[in-house]
Amino acid sequence: MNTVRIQGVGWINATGWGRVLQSQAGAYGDGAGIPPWKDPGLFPVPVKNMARFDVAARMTLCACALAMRDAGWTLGDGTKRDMGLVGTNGEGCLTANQTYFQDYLAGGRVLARANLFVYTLPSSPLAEAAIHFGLQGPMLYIGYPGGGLAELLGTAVLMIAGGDAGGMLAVKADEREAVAFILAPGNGGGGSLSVGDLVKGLPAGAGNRDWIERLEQMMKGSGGV
Amino acid sequence: MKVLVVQQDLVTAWGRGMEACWAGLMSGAPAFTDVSRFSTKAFNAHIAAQIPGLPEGGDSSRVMRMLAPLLAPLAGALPEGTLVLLATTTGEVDLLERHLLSGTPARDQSRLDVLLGRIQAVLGVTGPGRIISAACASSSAAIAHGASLIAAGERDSVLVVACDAVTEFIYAGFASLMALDPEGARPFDKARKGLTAGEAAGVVWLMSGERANRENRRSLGEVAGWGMSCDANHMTGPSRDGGGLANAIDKAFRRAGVDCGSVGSVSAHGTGTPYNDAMEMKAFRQVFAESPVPVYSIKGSLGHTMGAAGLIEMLVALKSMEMQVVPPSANLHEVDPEAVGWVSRHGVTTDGMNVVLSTNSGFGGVNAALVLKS
Repeated sequence: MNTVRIQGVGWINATGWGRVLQSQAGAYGDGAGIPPWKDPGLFPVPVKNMARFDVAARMTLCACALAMRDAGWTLGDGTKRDMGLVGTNGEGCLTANQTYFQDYLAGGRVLARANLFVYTLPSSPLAEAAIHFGLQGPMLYIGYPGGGLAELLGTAVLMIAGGDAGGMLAVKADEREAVAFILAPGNGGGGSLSVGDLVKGLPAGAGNRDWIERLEQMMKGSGGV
Repeated sequence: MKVLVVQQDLVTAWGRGMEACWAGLMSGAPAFTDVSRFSTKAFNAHIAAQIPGLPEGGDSSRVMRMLAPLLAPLAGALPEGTLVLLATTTGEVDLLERHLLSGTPARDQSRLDVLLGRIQAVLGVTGPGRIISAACASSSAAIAHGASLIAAGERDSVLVVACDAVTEFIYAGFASLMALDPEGARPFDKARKGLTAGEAAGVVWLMSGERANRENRRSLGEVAGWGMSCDANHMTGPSRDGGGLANAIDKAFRRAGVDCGSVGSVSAHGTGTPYNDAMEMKAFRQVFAESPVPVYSIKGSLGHTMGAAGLIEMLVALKSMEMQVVPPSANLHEVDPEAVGWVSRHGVTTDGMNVVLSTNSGFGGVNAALVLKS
């Protein structure tokens, strides 16, 4: 894990958002709602059809955008990137499955809605992110029962080290919280954190909040970026 | 580190095992039958490639009934440390259908991690497994992931389990997208109109060459290269230029250390939808520099088995090298002009075919390619 560095981290939850390497965080104002998918500061170019996305897809997009901004990337310029996307969550797309099939049943089992059916894949939110951000590397969902972010980052590192992509966006997104990491090859220096140091400092089963706090500690320890 | 296939099993609409599957494919006929498990009256198609003889009713899901005979011989046989990868798109979604229709079983019984737990319980595996889902490239993505772990020395034994069933859930969804061909899928046919839903389950046991040699395991073939990409273009439609798939194939070639001249045949995703098959032919023409290589699709025979498709197609591709025969593309009547010279409705006998390519694509623009060696 020493040759792959974290270049950006973004998170959102029920009360706020953060960009870890830039030490930026904020709380939602009254009525702002979560996730902040209409915020032009986050999405300079509006995400096509985002109003139709399910909540998990919106959370995924928001966390990815925050991570990319944290890495200092310009968003919405139409650039295609040799970057892969691997994502995980707790329950796959069970809620989307239920929404789609309930709607079909309510309609008399005659006609399903295509725009609900397309979200009945665990990889659908990732696909929306890949399309909006122009990510042309590998794109897949991996569920890690009993595991989580450490395994997700390990997969992203494996894919970079194996030459599958020039960089990876790794995201864990549920309906109430999401965190995304930008990983790329590198040997240290300013503007990045060690994946290995991060993972070593956390117990198995650590939650998103534990990860964010660990990252913030690392930032303080390095004097910031 | 070499990645070898040391054991496999499958069940398809042609029945249990590769011999039944191969015989069915070589017949050139579709294994499509009328759907009777749910009403298709409201849809434009009424057929699917369904596994015959599966017991109906009971508490278990259809995919577990498909998987049980495949998993039983492996129970207790996997060495400690074997990682189980489950590849699927919807898993036990028929349990969710039942829950929403009758209240039982509980909603969570259709979670993919619950299915993985059931599979591991049958196998007697206690360590953590993983669920891989990349739309209709799920099982090729799982094979790629397992191969990556072995190649990097992180694992030396990985079992990939793939499954998806024909359910009202998916049938209604594909119907809503107008993606079903009422006459049955006709991959690479000039008049193709869409796919036919299919179901299948399969298992592939991957092992490092070192461990396989140490344990005197017979190799059924090598997963020599893999590559994935995303079109980053559209949720349900592929990139029109085939560039994304070509990119995945290039990665797989580089990983395998082969070039296009060494590839004896291509197992295409070949769903039978107008856009998918056109995209694939553009990619193949680009990769193979307009020099035709035998291309085939088994989906005109076995239907689109979704998350299981990549694994089933990989096993058929390995069998084709063993038999030195490129299987026919079933249900093909008039070859699309873009595929003339590449795709045939007849099987082709070859000689010296020891490298083949297998590709899959799916919703969200995902592409996956596997290079296999005999």
